[in-house]
Amino acid sequence: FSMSASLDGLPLELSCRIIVYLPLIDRLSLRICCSALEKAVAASDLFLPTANRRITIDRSVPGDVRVTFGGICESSEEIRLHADTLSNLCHLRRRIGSKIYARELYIERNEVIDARVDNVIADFVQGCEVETVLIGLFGDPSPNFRDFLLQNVDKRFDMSLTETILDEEFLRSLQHPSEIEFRSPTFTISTGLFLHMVTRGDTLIRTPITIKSIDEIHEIVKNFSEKLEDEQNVDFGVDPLAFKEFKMNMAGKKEWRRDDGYGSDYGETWAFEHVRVREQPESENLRIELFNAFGLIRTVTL
Amino acid sequence: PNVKLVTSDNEEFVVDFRIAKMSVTVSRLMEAMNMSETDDASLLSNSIPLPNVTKAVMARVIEWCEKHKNDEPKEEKENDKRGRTTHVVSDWDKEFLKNDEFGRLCQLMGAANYLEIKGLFNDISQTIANMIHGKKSDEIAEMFNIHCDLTEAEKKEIRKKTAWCED
Repeated sequence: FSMSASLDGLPLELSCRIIVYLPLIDRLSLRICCSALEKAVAASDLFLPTANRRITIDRSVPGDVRVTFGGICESSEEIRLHADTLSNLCHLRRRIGSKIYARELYIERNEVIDARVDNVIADFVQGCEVETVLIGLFGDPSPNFRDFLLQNVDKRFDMSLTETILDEEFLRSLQHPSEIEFRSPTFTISTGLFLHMVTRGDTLIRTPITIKSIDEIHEIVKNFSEKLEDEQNVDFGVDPLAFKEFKMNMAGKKEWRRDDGYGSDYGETWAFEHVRVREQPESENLRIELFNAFGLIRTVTL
Repeated sequence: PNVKLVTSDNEEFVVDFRIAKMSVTVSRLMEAMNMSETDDASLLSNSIPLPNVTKAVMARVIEWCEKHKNDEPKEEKENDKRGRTTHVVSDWDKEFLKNDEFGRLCQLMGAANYLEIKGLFNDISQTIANMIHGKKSDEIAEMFNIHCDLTEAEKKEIRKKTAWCED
């Protein structure tokens, strides 16, 4: 078979294999040699030269994916890629076996549901080698994105999921509840739960637990109350169904509504510094003490 | 035991079984043809056709394989911490490839790719990358006979697109 004696005549899969050996500066030079090499460089893996950078993908414009590379605390430059470009990048990267490297990957997802773009993003993230992935979800994840999340609860990397997830079935489908915490929101939300996956290295007391029924609250809280010290926060893990039931139970109780000028939304009930729950020795009721930064502000009996 | 390899220009090469096995493609073909190291008859009665490799290129491939036939399987760390793939080309390999013009390197690379000889393929890829390294675009174009089909406006647009990754 014939092989062109010119670099730009090489089959794409061969030129890509050469390009992966090149540092970024050489790739940029190669890119403006001709259109064939421009395509070959674009098809090669993205090479992030500077540590402590992050990639932000924002799909606010349907069909477009905005990718930002930049430090967390500095203003970031951004590049907008069409979903097809990202898709081709994923495809070629898989064939070639190269990866994208970044310290932190941040994906922001708005309420515009576009399953195709969602799938491409999931594919893209799978091919990344990153220390931390932060995913902001509004609305329900598409099936592929859901699979991606489920596959990565094994802490392939530190991953945090933030924002509101409405799909309680999805929450229930997470198989490793010990790695997930449903945290109390720190500001008003209208619906849903905040879900965080626990990062590595958290201490035992911060390891969340999933409360699957209201009955379990008694036992778990008892264990916690024995370990609790002053000023120590406890994050509760609550199964969505149990939480829903709990919420319905509590909705009728006036004492769970705040009336101290900070608003009256139910969610704000959770905006305390910490919540201490103790069994009442004289009855089967639970006594719940709500603290803010200044100390105990409310006691509730269940 | 020896294996017969036949190139596109009908040249027959008789090589050691171990050398033949260095090519994943040849290994698969031998397996498909029920040729085994312990069965001399199968080796004698069959030859492996390699229609994508010429006599001249095959000779170079065999020379490389002869040198590396006793190498331990290498566990290469394909990517360094900065995400760049790295491959160390040994002194012997550098010497082996240094006199090849780019056209011959491409032919050898194509053959290594077709025959699936990873070590040779990586050596050549890294060697070509070394030729590119440190050069400006016009120097690269001159060295590799590249006809630039991009307009100045297109170049400007590409530079703009890649500005994000320039420190």
